[in-house]
Amino acid sequence: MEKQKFLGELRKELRWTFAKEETEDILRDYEGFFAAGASEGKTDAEICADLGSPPGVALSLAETLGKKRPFSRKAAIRAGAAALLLIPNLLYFLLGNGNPAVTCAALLVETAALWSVLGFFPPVARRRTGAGRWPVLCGHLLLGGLTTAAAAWFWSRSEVLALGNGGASVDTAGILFAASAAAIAVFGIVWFYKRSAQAFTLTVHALGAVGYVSAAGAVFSRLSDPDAFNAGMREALWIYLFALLLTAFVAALIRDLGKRVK
Amino acid sequence: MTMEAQIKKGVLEMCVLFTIREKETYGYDVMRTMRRFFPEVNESTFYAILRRLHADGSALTTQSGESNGPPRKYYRITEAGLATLQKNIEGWRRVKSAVEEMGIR
Repeated sequence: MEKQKFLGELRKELRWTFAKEETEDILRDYEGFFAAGASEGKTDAEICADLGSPPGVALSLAETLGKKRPFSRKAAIRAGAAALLLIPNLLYFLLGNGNPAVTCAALLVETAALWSVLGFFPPVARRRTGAGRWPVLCGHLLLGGLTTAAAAWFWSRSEVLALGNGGASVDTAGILFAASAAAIAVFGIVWFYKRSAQAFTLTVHALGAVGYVSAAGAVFSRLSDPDAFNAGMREALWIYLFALLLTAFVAALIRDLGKRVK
Repeated sequence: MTMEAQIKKGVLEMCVLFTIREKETYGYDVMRTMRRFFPEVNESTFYAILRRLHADGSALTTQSGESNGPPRKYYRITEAGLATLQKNIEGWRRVKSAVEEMGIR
């Protein structure tokens, strides 16, 4: 990586955690390290390798200096806007509507909005934790797919709320449910011991993936029938809210454990 | 510092404090020195420790204007830093002797 690219990326990473003056101070120091390395005859690539990746540098600084990753002002505004977006969507879900396409669009907005509020939207989460792009994305997709099946299975068997039948067959979905639970547990535990900040985010991602995909099961099982489709969407919303609560709880638990271990 | 914290975090901090105990040292040189002894740790880890030491008053910095390139920050230990170093070393000795007493050498 070249010096300018490294510094540019580092600036982006640091912005999430540090005040502007402190960010600039750190960047001046790193510029100095590049200059000092160059005077020893090292190439930019070698210097970068010794310094570590920009997300890693930012994470290391944040942890060592005891900075929480706070909501910046920008994030607060975004959260506020997202919360406003939620109101019509929630009303829409609660009142119901006959048009599957509109319901789909509403659910997408809902998902993005909720994740923005929580600050766990994938690009943001990646930037904050320094986790690689692919682990985050693959974790989303893999666990998302598995949790969809789990959600479909759960709701197909549930008669408590009498919300109808899900589309997935119980046997297949049951196996997938067990597999997804195990995957989430393994992910959480492994990452917890490796680095608590990443364990936190990845477990949040794993559990939160229910929200992204619970809709998918409902959509695919009910595309032919608009009424059933909308009933499915309402189920998806309940699953989603449940998943969010669970996520928040587990996240808090892991963060707390992480603090105690340190 | 508790023994547990000493093991987890204190060792690198102790070593960084030790490298700046006698004279002002350029941050990059501290990082290079530390890297020689801990090759698997990124240089930025030591930079983060230097910043923390500066933030908690264990180290002072002075800037020197370079004729070509950005200013360099030199780190120097303070009285408080020396006291911390002393405590860290005592803690480290306790850990070391406990480990050795178990028969691990």
